[in-house]
Amino acid sequence: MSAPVTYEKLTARQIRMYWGSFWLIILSESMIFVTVFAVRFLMAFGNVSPDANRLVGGLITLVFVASVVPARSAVRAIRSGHNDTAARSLLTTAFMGLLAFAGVIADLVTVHLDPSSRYGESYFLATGYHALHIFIGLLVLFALASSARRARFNVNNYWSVEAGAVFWYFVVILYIVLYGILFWA
Amino acid sequence: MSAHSPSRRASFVEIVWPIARATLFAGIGYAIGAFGVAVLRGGSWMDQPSIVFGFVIGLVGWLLGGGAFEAWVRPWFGFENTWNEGHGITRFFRYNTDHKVIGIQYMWAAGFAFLAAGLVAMGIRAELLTPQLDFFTNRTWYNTAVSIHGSLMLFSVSVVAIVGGFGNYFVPLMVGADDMVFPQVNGISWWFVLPGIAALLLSPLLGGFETGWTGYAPLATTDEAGQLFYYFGVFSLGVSSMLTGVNVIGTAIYMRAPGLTWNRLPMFVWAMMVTSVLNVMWVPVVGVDMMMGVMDRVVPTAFFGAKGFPLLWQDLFWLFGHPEVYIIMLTAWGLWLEIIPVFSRKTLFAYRWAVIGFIVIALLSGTVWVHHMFTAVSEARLIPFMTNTEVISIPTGFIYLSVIGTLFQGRIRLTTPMLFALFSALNFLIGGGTGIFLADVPSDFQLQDTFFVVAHFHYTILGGMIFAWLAGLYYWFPKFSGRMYNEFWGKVNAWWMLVFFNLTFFTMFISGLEGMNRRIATYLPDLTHLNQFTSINGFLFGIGFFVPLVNFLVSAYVGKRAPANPWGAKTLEWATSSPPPHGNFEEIPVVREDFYRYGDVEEPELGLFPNPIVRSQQTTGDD
Amino acid sequence: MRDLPILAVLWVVLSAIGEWVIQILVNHWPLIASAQGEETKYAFIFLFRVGAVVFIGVVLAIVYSMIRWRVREDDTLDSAHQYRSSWRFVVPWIVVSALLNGFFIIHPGITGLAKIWGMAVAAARNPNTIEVDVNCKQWSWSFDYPKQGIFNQTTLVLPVNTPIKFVLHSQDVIHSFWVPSFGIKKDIIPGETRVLYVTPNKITSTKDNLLTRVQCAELCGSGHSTMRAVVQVESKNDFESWAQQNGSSSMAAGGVAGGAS
Repeated sequence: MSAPVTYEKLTARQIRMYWGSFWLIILSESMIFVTVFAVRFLMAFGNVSPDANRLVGGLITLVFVASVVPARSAVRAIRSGHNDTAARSLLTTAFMGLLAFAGVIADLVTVHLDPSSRYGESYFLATGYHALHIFIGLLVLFALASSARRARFNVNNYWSVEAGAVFWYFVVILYIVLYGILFWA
Repeated sequence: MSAHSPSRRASFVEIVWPIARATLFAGIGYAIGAFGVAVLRGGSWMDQPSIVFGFVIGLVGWLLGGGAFEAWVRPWFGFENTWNEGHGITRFFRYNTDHKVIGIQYMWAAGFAFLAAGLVAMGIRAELLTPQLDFFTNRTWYNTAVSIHGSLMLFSVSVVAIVGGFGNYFVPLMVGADDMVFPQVNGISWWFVLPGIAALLLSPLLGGFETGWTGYAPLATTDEAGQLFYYFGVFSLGVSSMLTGVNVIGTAIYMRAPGLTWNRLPMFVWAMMVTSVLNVMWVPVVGVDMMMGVMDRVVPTAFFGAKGFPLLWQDLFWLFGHPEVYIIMLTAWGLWLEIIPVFSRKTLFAYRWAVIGFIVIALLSGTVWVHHMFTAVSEARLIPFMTNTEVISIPTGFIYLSVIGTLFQGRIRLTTPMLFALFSALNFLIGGGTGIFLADVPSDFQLQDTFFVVAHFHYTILGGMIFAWLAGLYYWFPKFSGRMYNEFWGKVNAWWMLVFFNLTFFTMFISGLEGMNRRIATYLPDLTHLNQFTSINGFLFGIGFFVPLVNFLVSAYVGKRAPANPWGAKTLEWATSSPPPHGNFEEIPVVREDFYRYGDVEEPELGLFPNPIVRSQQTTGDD
Repeated sequence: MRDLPILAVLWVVLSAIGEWVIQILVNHWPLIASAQGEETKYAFIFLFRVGAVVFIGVVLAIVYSMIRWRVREDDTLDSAHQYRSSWRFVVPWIVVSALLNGFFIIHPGITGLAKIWGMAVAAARNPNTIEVDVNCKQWSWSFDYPKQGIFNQTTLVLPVNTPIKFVLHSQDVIHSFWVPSFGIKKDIIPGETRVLYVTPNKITSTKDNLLTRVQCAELCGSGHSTMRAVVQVESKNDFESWAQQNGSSSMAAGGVAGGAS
């Protein structure tokens, strides 16, 4: 009943199909953030509250950027069929992401921003939406790690890992942009 | 997991247990969310934060219970997918990945929502029979009725019936594929629809919501808590649209049969593709708007209050809202252009221009939204948006160009689908034409927020899209049910609806000009006769919907068995049995000429791009 | 092809009938009692007249085909006339539709707006313009006449043939200020000030014609249907006497001097 499931080989056409549709999803998700950042600029252009903690934001950014390293090594590992290495790297990425997520939540809960102020509400909107995407990204990473450990992927079919990693990079890039727009612009 | 089980009849429990489990998990999830948050905050489970978390966790429970646990979560973590997708009738009440099953699930969901919203509309017209308040106990319930009617119709019928129902069923068939690109995603997309409908229908339990389907803040911030179910219901329905959109685009791009070049893509598939691009781009914007609305009520933030930007809600809403009405109409137009050539036995006229029309409409649709706000915005915005709104009627005209050119000198068979398609075109002409009065700012200054607008959009959406939906239902009923409907009652349906629809809604143009504004439960006595006339015809119109309902339900069991191609049409869905087998085609079809060519047409293909390949030289295999 | 001349004749005849019907409707048009309303009414009727011809043409094309080329439903022959396109039809169609839409943008679109804005600009410079502050909340209206020293009125009294500057404020949600017979409306956004210029040009009142009433025209909650106010448009002399009766004495004197003309 719990025998691990392995994928069949993916054809080139299938890979093209999956990537094409994946980028559509990224496009759609980006529209969310275009809207959210547009609202930030409309609400409080050029205004950054002194209560916004640039240091904490900067640290979280660094953790995110650092998490890209194990993600890339996970993709490299799975391409050559090293499932356990890949699983470990994915978990490392996930734990770093969890650290960043904890930082984001802690900041959201403790920051002294008035949610009915122009800056405050756009801060909570942007950070909240992004936190939701971190949560999804973490789910993806944990699930992929578990699947890799159970030898579900192989040298002929690791598209999910690549796509999951790209989604994580998307989350990271979004945070970098968010950091810039919320804390500095 | 065979699609057509030989002999075993499923028991009642076997049929309903997945959806029952989904409901149970939804309830448990809601309870965990609502009570959990209540305990943490020290509040009540009926408080707003509790409602928010209740809905979210309830939605997760619903998805898991319907089959996502076995089919999604287990494989994510490397375990086997142990979900049984059912056989025969049991497939429709559970998570299933066959696009034909999903299409029918969407059709039923849309049909149910239509019936519910239609009944609410009958209630609204019953209230408006007299100038006083007599049908509803108070105006809040009337406003809630108006809100639920509009929200259900716009979010769970108009974009679900054709796009979700026919789109899912027929796009893979029409491109010659065996299923969609992502059957799993397709399967789960339908499960976001019922929670959306349920949230809207259950909003009265939280006091209802009074803003109408447009949810304008700041009224939405201060009215009853049912508004939260509006926000989340719309959000959930939006997720479904987005997921379907990704699937349709992927299928149309990557899964076309050999020989099916872009030049030969069926009109309905073009319409679905363009619609899906709009969905993928604009639904996220309204999703953010909804969440900002939630935040204004719950946190509370002040996005839309007097200290904020009240008009921002409207801008974000209509940025989505205007493309939304094209999402509604594009596939209806696609259906016209599928059906009319078949029943005129004549080559589709100006295919190229019709496709260009679709694409240009989609491009322009995101540039016109302020015309819903002419009486609210600053002067500087009026002329640019009036200009864009007028300009978009030009590509819309291309569709009529194609319709008229195809009908002219055809051999016209006035079957039920053809009648509905033509009536849809005539109704939409009135609807679209009256849009010109609203696009023109000086004229709009008087007409905005009156029953003139109500008439305009009912003519376009009901007269246009719903009539086209019925056209599609009659056209494709033989294909997806395997049986023929009763033609006499079909024609009765068509003529009855044409007459009573027009009698009901035409008078609304007059009431609007006579000073009747929108969304009012009571009115001044001088409008009584007009409203009585409208209401009575409205009831007769509403009753007319039982004719197709009974026709389809009965014919599905005792109708004459349908051949593969009862209409003599040429698109690929007719090249397989009625209904299609699992996997759609016995072998992947190879397309050698376009689908709208009848008789001896003088020119070779006139697609979007001049195509030197005329006949059967396509050699694309599985690249 | 006999059909084209027949269609042309039918189009002309039906359009003539259509225009005749429109003229009857115009003669029975609901009351319009302001200069701005004349503009909005003109825009509508202009579009109606031109649009009717287009509408009749398209309906005719479709219905004529339905009748002329109809065959039995069990017919299986393809049409004898097959063509993918015809530049003689496509090009004029596209050119005419583009020209017509372009034309509508300019007239009555931009020209109508220009007139309405022109009236507003003139009223802003006119010393005789009466300012009425419209304060609304869920679900009632209140009118102040600052220059006349009249406050908190629930009936809107106005002098005919005088520009009125309505200054609109809302205390809670979005409302919309509309007098149907004035033919123009403006939404009222909380936290902002909107201005609407109207010049009533007929003596009328809610008693005479229900279209002369203030009606909220943006859904604002359960009281929206009944959020109305009585309107009275009077002669200038009647207005002055009313103003004197209701205003404070010192202000009224100033008001009368300014209002007499």
